[in-house]
Amino acid sequence: MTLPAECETALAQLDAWRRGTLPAEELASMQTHLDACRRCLSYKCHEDALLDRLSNAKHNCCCPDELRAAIMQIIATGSRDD
Amino acid sequence: MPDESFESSALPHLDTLYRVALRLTGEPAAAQDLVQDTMLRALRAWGSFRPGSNARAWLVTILRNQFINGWRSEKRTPVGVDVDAIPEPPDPKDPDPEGRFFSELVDDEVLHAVDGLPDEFREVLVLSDMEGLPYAEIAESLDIPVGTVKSRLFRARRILQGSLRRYAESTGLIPPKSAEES
Ligand SMILES: [Zn+2]
Repeated sequence: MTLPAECETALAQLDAWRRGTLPAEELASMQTHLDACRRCLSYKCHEDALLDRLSNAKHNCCCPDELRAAIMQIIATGSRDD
Repeated sequence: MPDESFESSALPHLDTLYRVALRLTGEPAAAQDLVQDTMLRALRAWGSFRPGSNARAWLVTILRNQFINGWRSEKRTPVGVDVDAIPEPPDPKDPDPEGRFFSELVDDEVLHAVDGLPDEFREVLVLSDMEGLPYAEIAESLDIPVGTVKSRLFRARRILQGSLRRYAESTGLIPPKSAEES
């Protein structure tokens, strides 16, 4: 399936829009397109939901204490070797 | 003058390094070894670090090189991912047009799908969408152009959405799309 050119443009600009780096006039035309195009709006919703989910998944995972301790040991040993 | 000791520059990034290592290696013990190797190598190379430059990008580069040189060969090859079969964007008849099913998935299911991505897609997705690194920093860390970061990220998300959708359909979270609709 080939998407219409205006859809390809809108999808390619989604990240810039999320990161707040889309120029104002492109922002306006993107919003107009999303208001009119259910496919692109649905795509955006899916991607927003995925990004939310990925960002949440990271919060339940951090460096284990034993690894942190081992690294402190590496640094302490390295400092003494200097 | 800011404190630019190895300790103060590197330790704040340990969580990021561990999470990236975990997603690259696919197992906690290997991830711990990879982070230790990375920190040891970084400490030895600290003299070559340019003060004021990006310590996180520098550390991720070392970690990724360590992974490629010493770990990737031992790692499992992702199976069942056809990178040329990029799923299409959701169509207007999608039974879940807002993608609500993503929020119903548990972490393990999401991370399993991330782990199934081929290396070059997984590393970009993890650095961007899980760790929040800017494109330019990812490009620097992976030594690839920003345009390549963007195109890999686009494909990685599409592949990931496809595999999570298949999982959601197979477990009844969403109804499968009927053949007539596709
Ligand atoms: Zn569109």
